Amino acid sequence: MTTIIILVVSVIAGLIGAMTGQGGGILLVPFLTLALHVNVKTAVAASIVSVIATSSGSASAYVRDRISNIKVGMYLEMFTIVGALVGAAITLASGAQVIYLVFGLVLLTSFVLLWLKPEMGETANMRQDRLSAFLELEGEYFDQAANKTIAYKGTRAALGGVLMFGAGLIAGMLGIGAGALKVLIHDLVMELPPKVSTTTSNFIIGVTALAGTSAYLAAGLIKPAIAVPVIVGVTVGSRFGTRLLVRLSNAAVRRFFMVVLSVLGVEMVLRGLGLL
Amino acid sequence: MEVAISYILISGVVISLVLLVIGTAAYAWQHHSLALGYSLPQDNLFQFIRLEFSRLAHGSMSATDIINLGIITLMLTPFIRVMFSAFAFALVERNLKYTLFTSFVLAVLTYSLFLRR
Repeated sequence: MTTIIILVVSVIAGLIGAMTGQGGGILLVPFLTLALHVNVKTAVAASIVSVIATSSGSASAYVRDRISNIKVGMYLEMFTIVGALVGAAITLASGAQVIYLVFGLVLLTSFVLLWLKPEMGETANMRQDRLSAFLELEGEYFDQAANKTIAYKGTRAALGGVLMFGAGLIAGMLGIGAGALKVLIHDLVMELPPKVSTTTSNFIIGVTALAGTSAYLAAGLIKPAIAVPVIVGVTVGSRFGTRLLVRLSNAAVRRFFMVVLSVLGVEMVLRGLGLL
Repeated sequence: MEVAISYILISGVVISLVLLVIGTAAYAWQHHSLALGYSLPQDNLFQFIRLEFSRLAHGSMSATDIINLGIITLMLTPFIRVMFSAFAFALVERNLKYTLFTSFVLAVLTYSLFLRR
């Protein structure tokens, strides 16, 4: 019963995705294509619809806790959404092998970035360039762990915007949330505190996914047989994943995820090069 | 504003999932197979919604209609969310800059919903 298999695979993707703070998409498309031989563009389309569900589900909690910064999110969204439409157009126009190759490279890049991940700073950034100040990219939130209100200011709005176009492009092209990339931009480029970075980028991801989904819908690539079990599976999987995350050690989860990333990354690249 | 957005997001996802699960169960009941072997209209979301609602207006309520409504709900969730933000920035916070930025995002989203292949 293929539907059940797709459902199970999606739950696993969502589970691991949530445990590692990534979306399900980054594992889902490789699982669907490599293991279940789903057509790569159909897999990308199904994945991007599911991204709407998972990101909206978790974003609702963050928005309510007032940690995400809606202005930062909306400003950056302007760039990301255009990127997503361009990315989807690229995928629709490209051959399958190109998609495999790019996907594999993104997986391997994520692996490298995770490996090199620098330590998060403690003091919030308060230096801001003029554009960022004009754009009101600042705020404060109550950090439960540190038990105090932290005020912050974001900076490098121009560079952040341009890079978010790129992140949107990748998201639209590969059907993923590209959350990791977006968080990096928020964190390292715009110097927002880590919790604000993750929550705000999460909120952006859903809107960006909608733009991509529309392009794939119009191309007739959203097949209910694949998309429906994927949506349900990934959403359920990530709900459980966030709960499991609390009980596992950070290092173990990270290591496991890096192994998965590297294996899938290599396979996708090989497929892209026609060697698999 | 934040609390309202939070509710919009979570209700959209929950309603959508419920519709998808019920629809799939109904499909399995009708067709004796869980494999959803039908296709969506190869068109944009706007047309998809229009077609679906005209089917419902003619009294149809098959499993595929329920599933389609689930997909439509999911896709409309971020859209409604952005629309709401636009109003909030315009009327509540009276922030011209962000009303404009949000309207831009809404415009691009609306464009994508009308895309034709």
